[in-house]
Amino acid sequence: MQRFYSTSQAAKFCQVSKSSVLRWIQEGRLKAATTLGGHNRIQAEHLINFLNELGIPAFEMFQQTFVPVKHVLIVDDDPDICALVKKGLSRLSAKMEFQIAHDGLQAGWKLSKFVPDLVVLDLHLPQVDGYQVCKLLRSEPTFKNTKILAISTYDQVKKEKILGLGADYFLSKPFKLQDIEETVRLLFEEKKPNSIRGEAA
Amino acid sequence: MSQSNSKTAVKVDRELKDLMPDFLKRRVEDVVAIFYALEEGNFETIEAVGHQIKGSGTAYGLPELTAIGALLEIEARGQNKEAIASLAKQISDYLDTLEITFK
Repeated sequence: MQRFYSTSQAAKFCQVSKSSVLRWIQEGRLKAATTLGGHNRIQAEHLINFLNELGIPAFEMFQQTFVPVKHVLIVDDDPDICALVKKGLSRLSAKMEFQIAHDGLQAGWKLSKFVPDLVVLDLHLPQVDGYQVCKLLRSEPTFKNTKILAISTYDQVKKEKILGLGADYFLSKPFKLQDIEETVRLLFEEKKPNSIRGEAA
Repeated sequence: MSQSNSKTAVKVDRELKDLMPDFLKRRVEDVVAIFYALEEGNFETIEAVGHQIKGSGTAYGLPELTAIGALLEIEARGQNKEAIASLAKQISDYLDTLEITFK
């Protein structure tokens, strides 16, 4: 999340001119810090409070900047599925950053470098399979808030096994763009996406 | 899907338009890979290719490929060379006649 804004950025979000923002600052109505170069920097919280006091609704563009970036790891040996998942999730939010792994070893390597909010995990992987990746994730407290969406061709045994290992949801392949989008949206909203094909833990 | 003048007309989600060229290119490569693997008796590779096609065909708006991929996976497990060659040709023919419009 961006913590400080320039007067130009604040003006854009509030849909007013830059001079209005400068005036608010000069009048002491809007708190701002000054950089060594003499530029104003407005703390995000101060800008929100100021807008609230004035009863000015936070405009959509402004609100979007406060949506935290979601970090997603897509683990699938099929590049077409990786591309499709990425496309579906990008439709959900522009604030998503993706890492891709094509096998379990790559996934393990990536997980040693960052903590994703979501892992989209194929079960059928070369070398280290999706079950082992899931076990690793659930054995490390670092990943306690990481959602795991298991994806694979439908099989009741597979599904029960991966949900038993701690995956949050099982989405069966083949799925459509809309399925992945809706499933992840509900997972991020902490809702169980039971309406979509698949099953929650 | 409708067939006329030897074309297989399919309507696909316009959101997939930018992904489709790579997807189709990889399916052409799959056909080549299947025939190579057949020559080498490498049924494991054929099964893996079938599995991938099964998993992605419908996702890309082409359920026929998912069906062929599923059969390919089964025939690879059974090491049925004739059936595998026939399925690879089916993929090739399907791709040759495919006419996609994005809705």
